[in-house]
Amino acid sequence: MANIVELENLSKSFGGIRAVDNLSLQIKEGEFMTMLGPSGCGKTTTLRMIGGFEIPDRGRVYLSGQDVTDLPPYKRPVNMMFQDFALFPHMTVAQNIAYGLKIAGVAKSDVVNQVDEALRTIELSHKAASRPAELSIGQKQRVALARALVRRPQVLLLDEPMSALDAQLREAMQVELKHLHEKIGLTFIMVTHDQTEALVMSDRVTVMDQGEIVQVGTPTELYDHPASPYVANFIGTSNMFVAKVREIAAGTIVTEYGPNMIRAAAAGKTPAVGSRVTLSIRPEKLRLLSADATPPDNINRLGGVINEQFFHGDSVRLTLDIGGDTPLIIHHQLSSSQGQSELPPAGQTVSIAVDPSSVTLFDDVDASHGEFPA
Amino acid sequence: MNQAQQRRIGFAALMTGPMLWWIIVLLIPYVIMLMISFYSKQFPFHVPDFQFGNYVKIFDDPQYFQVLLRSLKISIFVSLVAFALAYPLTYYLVFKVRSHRLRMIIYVATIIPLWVSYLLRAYTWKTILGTEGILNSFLMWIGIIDEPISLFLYNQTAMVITMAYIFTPYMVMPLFASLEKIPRNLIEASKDLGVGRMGTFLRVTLPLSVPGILAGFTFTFCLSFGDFISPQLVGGPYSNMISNVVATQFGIAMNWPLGSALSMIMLFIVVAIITMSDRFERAGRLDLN
Repeated sequence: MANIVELENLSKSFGGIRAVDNLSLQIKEGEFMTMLGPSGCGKTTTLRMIGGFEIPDRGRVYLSGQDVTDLPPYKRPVNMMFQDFALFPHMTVAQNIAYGLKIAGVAKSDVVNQVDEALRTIELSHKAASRPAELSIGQKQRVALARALVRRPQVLLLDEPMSALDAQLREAMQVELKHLHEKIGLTFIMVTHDQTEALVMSDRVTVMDQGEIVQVGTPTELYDHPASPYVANFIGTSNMFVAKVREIAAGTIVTEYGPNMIRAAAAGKTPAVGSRVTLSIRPEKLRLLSADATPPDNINRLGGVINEQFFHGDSVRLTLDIGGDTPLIIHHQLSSSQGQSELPPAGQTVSIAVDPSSVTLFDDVDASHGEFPA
Repeated sequence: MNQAQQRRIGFAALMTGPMLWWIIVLLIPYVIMLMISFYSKQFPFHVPDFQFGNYVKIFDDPQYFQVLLRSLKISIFVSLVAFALAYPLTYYLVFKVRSHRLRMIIYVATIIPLWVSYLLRAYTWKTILGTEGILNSFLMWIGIIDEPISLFLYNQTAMVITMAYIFTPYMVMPLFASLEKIPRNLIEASKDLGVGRMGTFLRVTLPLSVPGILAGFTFTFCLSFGDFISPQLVGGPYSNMISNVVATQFGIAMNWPLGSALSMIMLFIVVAIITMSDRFERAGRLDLN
């Protein structure tokens, strides 16, 4: 598929602070791309440079191969859905939707038809004559979406589209937006700081930190193969701890953490024997072993003592002391055949198993102790 | 005594002062003036009466009616000039000046003449526009005229210029407040939807600043309508405003009933304008969040 948006070495500073630093990114036609990162990471500035609201200090922006870096927003074939929806308060819903059509030289009768159709699609025909102030937040969002889409842009930009919604509506809108994307096949570029949202909706995610891209990949790639401790921490939760390299065998690296030996898939990494590395293990990849279980040799088997149990309804979180600095968190899914009462109680010594391919190893040590970036 | 009663007594005690002030200084004088406006003029003063002769006279006698029309006309011109000066300035301040500090400095510089005596500010224009004034000296210096001309001072134009200068800050203040309240993302949204600078201004910024425009016009109009100093200082013989006539009626003419009737008409016009502006503002009030 062809690239519809190409960003080439973009840099942008505000008052001496580098918001975006030499960023390059290709977005494919029809793709749902999400820019993810904490506030201040430069994701919104990047989106605004695609929309034309910020002019980059350096670098170029290409849309369908055409250089649009110096074009004002009103000359770019993209439309944006703004964070607070930015509906014109002095116009009705129908006037808001018609706003961008009138200017595009669409005939008057066509404007009326297209607005009617858009109102039917978002199921707000009965609100055509209402002012935005009379709408619920969910309705406002649909109007904002319709207003951007009636212009048939080549790319739809979404700036934190869910931030104004409550949790329940947010989940419904995530599904709705994803369905809409599948239905119309338009390129969507969304900015969010919510990793769940990014994982649920996107074809690909660009993770950013301090103005730079940290990793670009599909949600599964990011979750299963984070490129850095930062990504592992930002996407989902992870057990992160520092271990010491003992031995390097074919395809696996053996590390020592407290009394336990943990094998990790090498995945191209070549740390020196004796060096310190960061290990990352997802809580749901850790399995409690029953007393009589005998896992195959190539599976890590760790021993520890259960600290605490937290009941989550459909699952239980256990913290397990395996003799290192930080206790491990285990996410244990409850099933029809096993309830919470059958789990070993706090204080009991247990064995857990984890596949070496589920242990991600980073050469990077310092970042692993950072707090979870919100 | 329970808490509710205590609170009520406390509230009454708090409100007594302002209420007394309002009744003694405002309400009673208005009632007295309304009463006198129905009295009859009788040498050497006036006698209590109830008749509409004073009001009839105002609308019948061209001398008074002309002054009323002239006052309205001049006030409208002052408001228009103040608007033409204030809107571009305020727009520039709010949307173009990026530094918050610089914006506040220019804003305060615009407002600060309000702390200077009104008389002084009116006199300033006398020295600018007069035959010995700066304008004449300047024109002679660059050689456009050979001798001072008296065209600039003592006419209605001089009045409009002077009052526009004095009352423009009252236009700037509400405009500034209303322009600053417009969310920037509405302007971005308009551009995003393909509308250029001018179209965005006409279709988004201007309509959303209407409350400020209304408030500014109300201020400047009502203030110029009641002014009687500028007409005396820079206005000349054919520039009497309604307030000058009122002052004369209560002074040398000793015709309090007619002066009161004129005052009541002025009061009516001003209250009507404030009410209308308030209605419009309410009808168009928008939730900008």
